[in-house]
Amino acid sequence: MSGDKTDAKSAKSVDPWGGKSFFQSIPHVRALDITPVDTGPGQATLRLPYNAALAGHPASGILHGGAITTLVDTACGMAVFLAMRQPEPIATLDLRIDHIRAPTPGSDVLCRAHCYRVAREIAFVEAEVIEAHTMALVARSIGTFIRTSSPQRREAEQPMEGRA
Amino acid sequence: MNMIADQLRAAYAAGDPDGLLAVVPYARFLDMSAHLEPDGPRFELAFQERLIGNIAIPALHGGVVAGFLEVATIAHLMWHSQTADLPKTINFSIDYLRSARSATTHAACRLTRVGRRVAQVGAEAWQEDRSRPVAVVRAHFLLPELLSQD
Repeated sequence: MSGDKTDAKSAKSVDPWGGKSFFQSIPHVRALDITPVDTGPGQATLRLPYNAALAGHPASGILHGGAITTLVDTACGMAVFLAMRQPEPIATLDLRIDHIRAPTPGSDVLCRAHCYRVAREIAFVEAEVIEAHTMALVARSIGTFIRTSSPQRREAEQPMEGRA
Repeated sequence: MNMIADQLRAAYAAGDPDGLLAVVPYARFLDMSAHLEPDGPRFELAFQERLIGNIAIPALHGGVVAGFLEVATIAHLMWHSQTADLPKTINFSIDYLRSARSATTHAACRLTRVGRRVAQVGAEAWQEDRSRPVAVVRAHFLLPELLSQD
C-alpha cells in the first residue's frame, strides 16, 4: 500500500512494530489508550490501561466486558497482520469470549493474541486476557478473521516463492 | 442503603430503559441510549468519530459493536427480570455480518432462556435496514438477585 517494495520483500512478516503507528491512528484504539507491549510473528500483546469511564458496574468499578472485547478484537487483528507476509485488509468474522474472572478494579489488563493459522480465506486466532500486575487470567477468546481482498489478487501481488 | 438497587427500581418504575444505561459508566462512555418499543427495549448508538475502528471505510470498531450489544443484552435482561444489581457476563459470542458504517446503530434483544441462576440472551444490531443486520450475538449471564415484589 505504501509502495515501499523493499520493506515488504525483506520482512518475513510485517515489521514487528509495524502496525504501531497504524494502530494508534485508529480513533477508538486511541480513545481507549490501547498500546502495543510486545509483538512477534503472528503474536501481539496489547495493554488497556485502567479507566473508570470503562467500568461496567458503578460501585465495583470493574471493567465492562465491552472494553475487554475491544482490547481482544484489536490484539487479534494485530496478530493476524503480524502473521501475514504483507499487509492486507482483514475483518473480524466472529469472536467468542469467556470471562473467567473479573479483573481487579484499577488494574491494567493485557491481551496476548496468537494467530496460529492463516488459510487462503480465513485466519484463526486465540487470545487470553490477563491482569497486568498479578498475571491472573481474566478472559480467554477464540476468533476468526476473513481476508477481505480476493486470493487471486493477493497471489498476483505476492512473490512466487513461499505461496501456501 | 443500596444505591444501585434504588436507581434500578426507579428506572423500572418510570418505564424507561434509558435509566438503566445511566447506571453503567461504559454505556455513558459509548453515549448510547434506549427507549421502549411495544416489543421491548430498543437501543441506539449514534455514530461518532472516536468510535471508528477502520478509517478507510469508515466503520465502527468491532469492539464498539460488541460493547454496544453487550450493554444492550445486559439492560434487556435487567428490564425483563427486574434485577436488583447488574448481571455478570459468563461468555459473549458475536458474529459480524457486515461493517457498521457512519450511521446510527440500533439493537434489539430477546431472552432465549432465563433460569434461576443463568440466562441466555440473543441480540442483533442493524443500521438503516433491520433485514440487513451488522452483527448478531449470543451471550450467557449470571443472574443477580431480583428485586422483591413488595
